[in-house]
Amino acid sequence: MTTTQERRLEDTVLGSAAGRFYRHQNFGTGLLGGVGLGFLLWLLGEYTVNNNPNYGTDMVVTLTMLGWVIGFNLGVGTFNAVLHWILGHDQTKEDELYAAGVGQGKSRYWKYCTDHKVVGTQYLILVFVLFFIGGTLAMMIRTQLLTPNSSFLSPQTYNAIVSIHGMTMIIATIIMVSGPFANFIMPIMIGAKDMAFPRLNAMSIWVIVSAVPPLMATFFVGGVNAGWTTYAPLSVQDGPAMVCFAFTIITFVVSVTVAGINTLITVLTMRAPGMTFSRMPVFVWASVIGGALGLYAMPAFLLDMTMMVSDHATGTSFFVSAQGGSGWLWENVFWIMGHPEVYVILIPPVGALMEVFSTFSRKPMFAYKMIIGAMIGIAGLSIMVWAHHMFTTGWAPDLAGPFMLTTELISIPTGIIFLCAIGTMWRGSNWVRLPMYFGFLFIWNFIVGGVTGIYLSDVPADDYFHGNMFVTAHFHYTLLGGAMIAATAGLCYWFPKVTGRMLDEKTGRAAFWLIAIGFQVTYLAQFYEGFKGMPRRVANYDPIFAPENVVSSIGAYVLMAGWIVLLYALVSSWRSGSIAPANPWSAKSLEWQTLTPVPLENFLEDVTVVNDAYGYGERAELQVHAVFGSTSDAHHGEGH
Amino acid sequence: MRRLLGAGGAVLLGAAVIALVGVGFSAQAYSSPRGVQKATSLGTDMTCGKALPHVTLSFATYADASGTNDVGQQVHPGGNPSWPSYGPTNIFQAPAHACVTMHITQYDSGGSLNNPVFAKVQGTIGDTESVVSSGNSVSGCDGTSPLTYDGTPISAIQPCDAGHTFSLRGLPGIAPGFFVNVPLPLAGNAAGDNVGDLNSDAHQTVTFSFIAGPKGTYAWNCEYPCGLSVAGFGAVMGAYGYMSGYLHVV
Amino acid sequence: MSSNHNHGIHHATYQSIDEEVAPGLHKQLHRQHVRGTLYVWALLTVGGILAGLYLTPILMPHMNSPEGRAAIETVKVFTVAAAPVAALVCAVAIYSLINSRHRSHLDSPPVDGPPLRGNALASGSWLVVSTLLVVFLLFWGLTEWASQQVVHADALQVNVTGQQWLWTYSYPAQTVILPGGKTLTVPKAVDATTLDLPINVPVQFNVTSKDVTHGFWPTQLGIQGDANPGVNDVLRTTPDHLGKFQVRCSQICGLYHAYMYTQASVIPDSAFTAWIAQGDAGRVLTSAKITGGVR
Repeated sequence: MTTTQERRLEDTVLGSAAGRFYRHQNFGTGLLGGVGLGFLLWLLGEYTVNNNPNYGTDMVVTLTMLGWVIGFNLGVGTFNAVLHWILGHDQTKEDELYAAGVGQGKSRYWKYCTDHKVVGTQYLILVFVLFFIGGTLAMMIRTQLLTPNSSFLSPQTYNAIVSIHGMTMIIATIIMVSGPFANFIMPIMIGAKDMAFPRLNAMSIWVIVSAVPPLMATFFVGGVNAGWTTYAPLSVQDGPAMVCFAFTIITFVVSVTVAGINTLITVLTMRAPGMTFSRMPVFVWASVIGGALGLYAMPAFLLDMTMMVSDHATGTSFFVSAQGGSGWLWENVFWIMGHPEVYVILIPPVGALMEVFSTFSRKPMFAYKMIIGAMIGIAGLSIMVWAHHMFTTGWAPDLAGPFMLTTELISIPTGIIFLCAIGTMWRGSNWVRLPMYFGFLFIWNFIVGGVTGIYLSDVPADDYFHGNMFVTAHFHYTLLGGAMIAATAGLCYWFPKVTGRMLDEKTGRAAFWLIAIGFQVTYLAQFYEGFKGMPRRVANYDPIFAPENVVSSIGAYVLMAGWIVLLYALVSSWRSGSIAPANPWSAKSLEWQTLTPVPLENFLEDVTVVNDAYGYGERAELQVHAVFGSTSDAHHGEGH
Repeated sequence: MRRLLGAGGAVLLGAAVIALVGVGFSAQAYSSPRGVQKATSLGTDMTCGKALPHVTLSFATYADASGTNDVGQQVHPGGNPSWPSYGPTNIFQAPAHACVTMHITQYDSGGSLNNPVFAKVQGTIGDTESVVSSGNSVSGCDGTSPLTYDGTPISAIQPCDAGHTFSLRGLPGIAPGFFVNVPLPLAGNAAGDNVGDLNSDAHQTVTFSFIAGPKGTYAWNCEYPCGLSVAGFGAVMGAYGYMSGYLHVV
Repeated sequence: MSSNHNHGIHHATYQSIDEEVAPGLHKQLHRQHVRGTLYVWALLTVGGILAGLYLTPILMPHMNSPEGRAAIETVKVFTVAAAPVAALVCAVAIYSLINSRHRSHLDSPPVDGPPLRGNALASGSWLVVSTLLVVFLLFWGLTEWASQQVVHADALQVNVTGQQWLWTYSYPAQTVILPGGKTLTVPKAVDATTLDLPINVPVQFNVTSKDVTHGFWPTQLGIQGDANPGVNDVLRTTPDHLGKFQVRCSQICGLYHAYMYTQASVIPDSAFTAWIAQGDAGRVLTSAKITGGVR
């Protein structure tokens, strides 16, 4: 469909690129830049600070990681526009179009690209990569735990794997929806042409890509011993791997913050005429609330990790009690991030799932305003519950009551999510396609996760369950069985729009059953371990726990097999699935009303929203979500 | 799209390879590449107070993991030169319920334990160890100069005279009450000899016996803070295979 | 090609039964949905309540203190309280799955359902019920918690030290006046690597750490507290059943976290007095004593 005019445009954009370095930047030059600058700073460190007996290695690693992150982003072109402005040049129209990926075919997926759909796809690939790494590590953990007295892995390797499995999965789940779908789908949903800050958007993906290698590097410098929560002072005692780990987080927080601001401003300023707040799809609300909550939570993580690097590389003692610090400081700041973060993970997938429920039940969203209120309520309460992770630490025992209160209060808005889900399904037509399978699985898993959560919110019960496998099973039920399954429903739902192909549902259903059954077996067995009293994060255990560990490991293998089958279905459908129509689900929200593949700037005509996106079964005039083309009266009717 | 997917698949595979290489590297580097030392049988005797199969194991603690021991082997191939290490290996094997006599040659210097409890000999026959000093010129913390022992069974050392400890713990569910703790007094020339040559270097030879528990893999470690960072338990103490290991009871 | 070529293809309005058939039938159909869901709900609720009441004591170990039994009771009560709500969500989901009318025509979307955009009664009663439940959970939790905060006038002091990777216990010299007026004397300070507690004697654990954070978790006493360096964390309980269990470390503490456990027993106070009188010599279980295995 390339017109002559477009081709001329491409010629201008690419033609003017000849000879200029920054027209050749991609992932490869990023790697070169990162390794190059990392190596230079490593050399610098080796010859200047390495003689310090206590902090030398940690300082060198700090410098190397700094070099890697900056070098990679310089190399991939993250700072190009900024550098140009600093040097007194402006970005030309050609530069802008080049950055948007015009005329570069598939190679734009390997570049710094400001098109939000490209960024969304890049995020999707990154999420697959991270889940693949995290899943592989999980299999190693379950293999070690097959037998009570296993020496498959040394305790050091085991701890390193447990820590990196945790953090890889946390990073992956935080971005699994806010990365791919809040970037690809959300702007289309509100009728926007792109995100508010396309450059920041492109920056967010490449900064997060540069955060992954330091995480993997931990394996090569001793491994992180302290679990993903890296409680101090154990993490201060750890080797230079902890510095790499901290760099991953610091870099990651920069990315998430930038992405969160972008989502927020996009929704505030870029909505199509008529897209009032009360007409915004639930997923848009969820992305905004998740993003805003991330803006509150993530800086605490940055702060904690900065202090950690400082303790490691300069001998400050924020967390070392013998020198005036406190491990409780770490724990508090960590969980001030850590509990809102759980909802940063959970809210966007739940929003996506609500779209699925409405579309496939062929019914309007039930109690739309309540679910928005519930998500805001969850976000608000979630910043006041952090110390329920610290009931047994001995910190501020008098606050046990208040934190029990806030924690249990959060089950009221969470319950509303269930109410809205079942209200939307109630008497609906229930089109049982693959996204809906995962929707039902979410409901079951999240009930189990929620009910077990209330045991843990209760101090006397938590005094038994804290730090044992019960907690492990609980948060896997909420984050893997809840959030990640909801995200999978969203992925299957939006797959035709993102890839232009229909997902192979037969293979997808096979994967679903493996995942559903494998998951229950794995984590119900772990609940049982917890009831019996098996502690978390142990490389070996009392043989009385042996049978349920075998069951759990077998379940985990089935679960992993399920994910691999799903990955196969996704990749094979992406390659050679049948071509998807623009609106395979007959859904009403805007992303389904535009072409597939989605053109640059998303819509060929002006969009005016006239109703919300949930007019299923309504009178004909209420069923229309938006009208296209210049209808001047509508333009002036419902401005924002 | 095909090209993209090919490349995407490559990235995915690459990531898995990186993860597996990382895991593989750490599994190899943080395990015990030095093999298992099997106990030598001495027949059946009364060493442990009753007629039991008697076996013996001999090993040493060195101040320099990269150093060469008295039979010309490197203590810990690829080991960090500024870290101490047990050698020639950290994995031992002994038969279940046998009487095990260990001889540990201690070449390293030392200082104070974090917890004086570990200065007491626990869980050995008679709750004692015997120490024979050789060439030691370093003073004890109570002023004894030089710090030497004559092989008389002792039930404790001064907590500030520790070089390392050999602390062997029980197994949950298999040998729940099992615990052997043996303090190894510090040694060394005034210059702080690191190498560990039986003929020329100062050392303390510690001998003790205990009755092995039921079958299982028992973990041992050193409770002297010989690492860096918090409580001296960073660096080498967090690195498996130097001051920690297993006793396979078969 | 127009971007809105697909927009509005699906205008199927819900075939409102009110318009087609008598209102009476509509009501009846609606009742049928409600009745079907209620059956499933009742079944699941009963199942959940029975599981809470009878499965919990099987799943959890026998507890040696009131605090431990409080944990079991809490799981029981919370399961029973949550069962009706969880069952309702499951029931609607299951019913809507059973009732889905479009299994055989998966390629095209089914006819739209009724445009229910909310129901004040449903939402209101949901909110009221969930709020009441939360108030109940909180009331239960705070009552239990408060009952565990009772400080006995006199308690056996046990100093617990966590360090990488072993628990050590010391019993300082002391005389404890028991509630009945009897006394329990520890004549001389004793160090131990196992934890032995006299039955029916209030105990105060003073928990601290030599290095990093550990989690002191005497499993079947139902109490837990971190051992933080430089901090004395006080835990109280009164073991009231004889038995053996393990103290496990519940906070990852490095290389040998998995091996950081000790054998603990609640023993008659006469046995405790005899044991403590031996001084240090009796504290450490020697390998000679376990020949042949403890189990």
